[in-house]
Amino acid sequence: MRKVSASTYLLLSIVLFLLSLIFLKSTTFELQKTNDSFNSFVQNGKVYDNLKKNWSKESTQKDLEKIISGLKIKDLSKKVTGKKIYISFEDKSLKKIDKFLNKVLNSHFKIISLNITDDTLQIEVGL
Amino acid sequence: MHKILPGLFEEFIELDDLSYYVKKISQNNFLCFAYDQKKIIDAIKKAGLLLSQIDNIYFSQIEFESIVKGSGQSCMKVDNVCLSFIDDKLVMIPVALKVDIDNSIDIQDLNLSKETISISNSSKYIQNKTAYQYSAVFVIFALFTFFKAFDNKIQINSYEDKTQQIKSSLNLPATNIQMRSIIGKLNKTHQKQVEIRELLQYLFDIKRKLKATVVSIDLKSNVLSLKLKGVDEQKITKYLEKRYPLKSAVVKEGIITIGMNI
Repeated sequence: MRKVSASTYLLLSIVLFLLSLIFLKSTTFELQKTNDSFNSFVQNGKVYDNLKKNWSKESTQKDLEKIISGLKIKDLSKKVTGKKIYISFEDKSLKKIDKFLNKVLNSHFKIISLNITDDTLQIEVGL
Repeated sequence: MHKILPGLFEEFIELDDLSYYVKKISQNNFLCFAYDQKKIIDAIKKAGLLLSQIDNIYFSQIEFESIVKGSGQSCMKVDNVCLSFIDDKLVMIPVALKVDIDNSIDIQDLNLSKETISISNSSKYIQNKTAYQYSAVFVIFALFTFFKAFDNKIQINSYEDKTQQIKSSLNLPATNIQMRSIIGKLNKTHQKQVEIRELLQYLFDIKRKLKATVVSIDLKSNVLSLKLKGVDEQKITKYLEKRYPLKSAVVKEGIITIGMNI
């Protein structure tokens, strides 16, 4: 068997070291890319979760019910169809219309149609 | 030691490109060698051998000492010179002066010492010992680098589990495409609803800013119909057109009816 010289060992170790550097650089780049992609995914996930919570059917129904029961509006007409909730009521003093409208506009409701006159309010909210 | 050695030989030989080796014989006694690596390499080549086939190179002055002494041999002929130990000193004697030469040395019986030198073509640039030391350093660095790289790989693989955990905890869709599509749709809804609220806010400000009375607001799909009284038509259209394009503006029985597209 041929004897391997010290200089060959040195050369091989340098090659091995260079290969390890290339491997490290490649994995570091891949890790950075994966990390960025993961952070972007987490960010999107949070956005998705927030939007879903805000505009979900359940939260719309729940929040609307809360507003209605909180204002104690008499003679309120509420009709729920598959994808919509229709609400109408009269209020001569306009106070409850103002309060109701204010709460609806400050909440995440999909307003499909809205009709406000002197003393009536009709609103259609999407589910 | 290597700084002193050339001085020992400078009177006898040319010192160009010589290497040195020292063997300690006893307290204050050293056997010093000066040798030309190039000449050794040339001799090996001349013998039809490759440098890589040579394991070790020994000094005959060290290795043959026991044979010469042990066998009672008084003189050994090497390169037409007779080598002999006299009073524990290796001396060269002209062949002509010594007649009882016996070169019947059985090399197989030699017990080689550990006193060797190594010769390589690269020795001109780097000593073997240094080369091995550097090799060790490079290998250690390479191992460390490989370890770090594998650690990176482990971290990369762990992201898959983290992603799945987030997907299940936030109840996200199976693919990113689906998620982006739903986000786009919901963002559109959000944007539309923000626009509706901004428009309504702008309309509610009419009462305060223009002292007008809003008779009715009717919003259906993307069309808004606004009825007002107690305000000049030009004044109200000017106010609204600052922010929104108007579709129509009709005055009938003191009531201004304005149509707008959202």
